[in-house]
Amino acid sequence: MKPVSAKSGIPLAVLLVSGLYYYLLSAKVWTWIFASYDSGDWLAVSNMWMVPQPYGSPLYISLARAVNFLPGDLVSNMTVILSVIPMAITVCLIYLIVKEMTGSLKIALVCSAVMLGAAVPLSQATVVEEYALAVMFVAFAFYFYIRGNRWATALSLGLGTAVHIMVLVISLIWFVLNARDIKPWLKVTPVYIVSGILPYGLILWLMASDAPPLLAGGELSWAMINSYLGSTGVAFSLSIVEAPERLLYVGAFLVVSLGLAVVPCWWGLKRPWRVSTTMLIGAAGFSIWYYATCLDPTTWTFLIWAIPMMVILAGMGLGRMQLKHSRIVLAGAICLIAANGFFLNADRLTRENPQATDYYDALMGLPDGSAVVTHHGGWGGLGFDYVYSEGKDLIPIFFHYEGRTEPEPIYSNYLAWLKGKHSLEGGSTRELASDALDSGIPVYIEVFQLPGWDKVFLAEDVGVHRFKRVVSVDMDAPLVTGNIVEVKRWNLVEAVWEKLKGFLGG
Amino acid sequence: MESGRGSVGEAKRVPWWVSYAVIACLLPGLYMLVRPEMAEQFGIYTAVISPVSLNLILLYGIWGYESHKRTRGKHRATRWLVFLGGCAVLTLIFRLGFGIETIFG
Repeated sequence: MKPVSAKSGIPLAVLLVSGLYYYLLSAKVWTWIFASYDSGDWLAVSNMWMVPQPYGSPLYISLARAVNFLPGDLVSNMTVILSVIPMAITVCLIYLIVKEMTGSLKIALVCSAVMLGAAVPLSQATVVEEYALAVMFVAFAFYFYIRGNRWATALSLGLGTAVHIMVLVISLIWFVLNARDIKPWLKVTPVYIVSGILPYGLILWLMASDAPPLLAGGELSWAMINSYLGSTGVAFSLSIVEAPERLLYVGAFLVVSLGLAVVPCWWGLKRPWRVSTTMLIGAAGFSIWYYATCLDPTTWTFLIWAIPMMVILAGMGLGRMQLKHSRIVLAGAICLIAANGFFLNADRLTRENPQATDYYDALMGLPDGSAVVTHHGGWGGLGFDYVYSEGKDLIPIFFHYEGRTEPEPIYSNYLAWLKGKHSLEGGSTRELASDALDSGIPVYIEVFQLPGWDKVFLAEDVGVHRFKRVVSVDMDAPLVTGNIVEVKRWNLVEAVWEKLKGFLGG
Repeated sequence: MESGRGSVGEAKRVPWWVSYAVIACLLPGLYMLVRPEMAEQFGIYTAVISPVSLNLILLYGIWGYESHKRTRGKHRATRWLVFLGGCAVLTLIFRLGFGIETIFG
């Protein structure tokens, strides 16, 4: 019998240490920290089937539903099972990948330490979010790729795609980069399609079902799909005037995540490049490019796909450098691990500023049968969805930015559902609120969401924490348009024609 | 290779630890810069739209650099131009299709 060496236990040790570190730093209660406002949505779909935010994340919401059946606190279970453990596995995979590519156990350990101390992955490993699970599958895919297992590579990419649509782009990039060897990859494409694309049929099914259309749904049609997909579309549109600040943040997030490993990462980029190197560069490059040019500043979380790739590149760089470089990079990683333990401690930061749980308690404290005016999405709306899914008897009156010339299927179906389920009628936020007041239903609005609507709603403080009660609705007040980006629906022909007419002075 | 000592007639090389020192000096400041962004719990933001996006400038910049660098290889510069032009066209289609506008309250 072959003796088991101590080295064979190293991956397990890396996994356990990483898991323990992430768990200790993870938020133990619901939080919005680290741009995790979407957690309200994930917790809501864990409680009940509904169409989540685009593009649906079918595998993630299915796993969330499964986690809901486990004993214990839902938030803790989802954080540990769908964030902490996947990211710990990712750290372990980084170790295995770098060891495979460099042949050095020491460099692999250094890279796993760098990954553990990386700020962006740490942030998403310690809250309820989908990114840790998605990046785990991407890491699996790369690991299987360098091991020559195409079936497992395709399956991993497929499962990652079913968690987050970004992996579809990474998969396409990797597919193109392997175009010279396309035939064997075409053979495993069905594996990817079955595991990564077909699951999105769940979202179509949810649209067609009678699930509450709090975000979307109520019908399955091209108009609904178009409206659903078009409700997110701020990529590649950052204006030039905002560029300097954004580029600064891009650099800052990368340096803070990689630490001193930035130096060997540069060495890892030196040519000649293997196909695997171009894959790392392609995935990291797209991720960085997305955040750098996206209108939404909270998409720094998308750098989570770049960081593991750059850590692997750093490992390749260390493989070309003397041992002293590995020692100093390790020292830097240990410093970051220690610093993050305090400054990026989600558990501590959440306890110091428990906004999410405060909002949850405030909603739960409202009288049953009340109507709540809130954002459609965002921390306010998704948080409401979570409370609603917990069984609290509240009626949602979602903000609808006025002045739109076209009815949107998402909003139309929501209005129809509201009428059928809660007997509220109206074509706009103010009409719905007015109808609720006329029906004797108390209407509340959260104080942080009141600005912008304070000319429409006259609200008074009635001693309810965080909420004011709406006394009257001014139907003649100026239209409310808000100060966030409004994304029009996809209509290319009309958009091009309008642009041309504008240029021609029409 | 050890560096930092140049022989007569050779330029001195930067010591190997300098790049690490620079990163280490920048880290605390950058850490304090990103930390509030990460810890922010209310994600409402305003957006500014301009006819020229960072995306297009980046693509043009990359093209210009590559074209200059590879002037001896005309086909290489042309290949970059075609690639970047395609990216720019796709970006424009994306922007036109969604027709993003800001509405300031």
